[in-house]
Amino acid sequence: MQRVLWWIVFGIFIAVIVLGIFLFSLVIAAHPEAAAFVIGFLGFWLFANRLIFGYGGIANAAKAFLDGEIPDKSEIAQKIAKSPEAAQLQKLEDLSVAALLSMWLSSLEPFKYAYYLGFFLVFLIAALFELNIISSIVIGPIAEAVMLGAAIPTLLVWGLELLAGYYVGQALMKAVKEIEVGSQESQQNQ
Amino acid sequence: MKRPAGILILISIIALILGWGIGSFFTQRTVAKVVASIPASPIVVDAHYNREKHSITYSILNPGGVPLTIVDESFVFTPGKNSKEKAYIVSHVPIHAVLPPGVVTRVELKLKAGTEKLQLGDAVLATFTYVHPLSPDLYTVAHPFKLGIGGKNVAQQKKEIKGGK
Repeated sequence: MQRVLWWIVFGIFIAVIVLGIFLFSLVIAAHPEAAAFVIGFLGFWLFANRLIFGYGGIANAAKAFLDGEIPDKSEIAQKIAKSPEAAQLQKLEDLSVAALLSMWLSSLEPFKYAYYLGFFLVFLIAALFELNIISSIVIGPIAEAVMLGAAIPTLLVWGLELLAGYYVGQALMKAVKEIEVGSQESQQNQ
Repeated sequence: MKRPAGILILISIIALILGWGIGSFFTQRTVAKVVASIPASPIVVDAHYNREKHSITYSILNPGGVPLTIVDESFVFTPGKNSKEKAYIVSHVPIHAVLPPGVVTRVELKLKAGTEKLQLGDAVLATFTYVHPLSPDLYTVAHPFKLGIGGKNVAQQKKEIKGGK
């Protein structure tokens, strides 16, 4: 019974993929710019995914920390280190939450630069076609459509990066204040 | 940029501009495709008399997005004051010249064999009949050519439509 169900599901899956490829090739034949837009959007989203969810997660965790909650340190440590074992060996969990968040933010830096470089190259090609420095009736609009599709995830990355940077900055300020207050209290106690 | 609200407003404004750009890009492409599917009438931009070949070469621009095909050419020769040749008419010489969209194509019109070379003041009124893929109708464009100083011609065109086939 399970085997039959599995084969039915597998058949539906293959049918959906074939139908999708068929519809997509129809769209490419009729509107190559629309297809280029979708490819630019999906392709750049693929590269932006890590940044979007990374910066989103940082902003969320930092906001939670600012609101007085204590986020799970081991979870954040796993995002920074390659594996849980590495996180343990690096003693990341001994650090404060704000320090971990700022480390998480800087661990995304190389991905951000690679992503912006990719977008810049696509933008440059589209601008060359748009300004008629290179001219082609066929490739020009397609390059522009790819650039417009790629601009959507790029805008998301940029906005989330600004938000994450802002919240991490606030979290660091809060943590530094807490340390200062704590040291003053300990001095008074002595 | 000190508050999250400011960041969100900035991003929203840029997102609106980006959406506007994407929308206008696709609108522009759609309109360009519609315009390119409308057949245009050819424009004779230049005509030159070739004395050795005894022919006139016309440079014809197809300003539209649909290829046009010239199916035949006719011409009326009117002698000027310097010519000894008599007036004559050559009609319906079948040719097959495709005018690709957006470019200037050269079409050669051979004058009647055995006639004298053109003299200053001689006029040739050429009529090209062309068709386009969207309808079976025949269209014509007539171009008056007068051999003058420096090969300049009367830059005047008439266009008329012959309905039906």
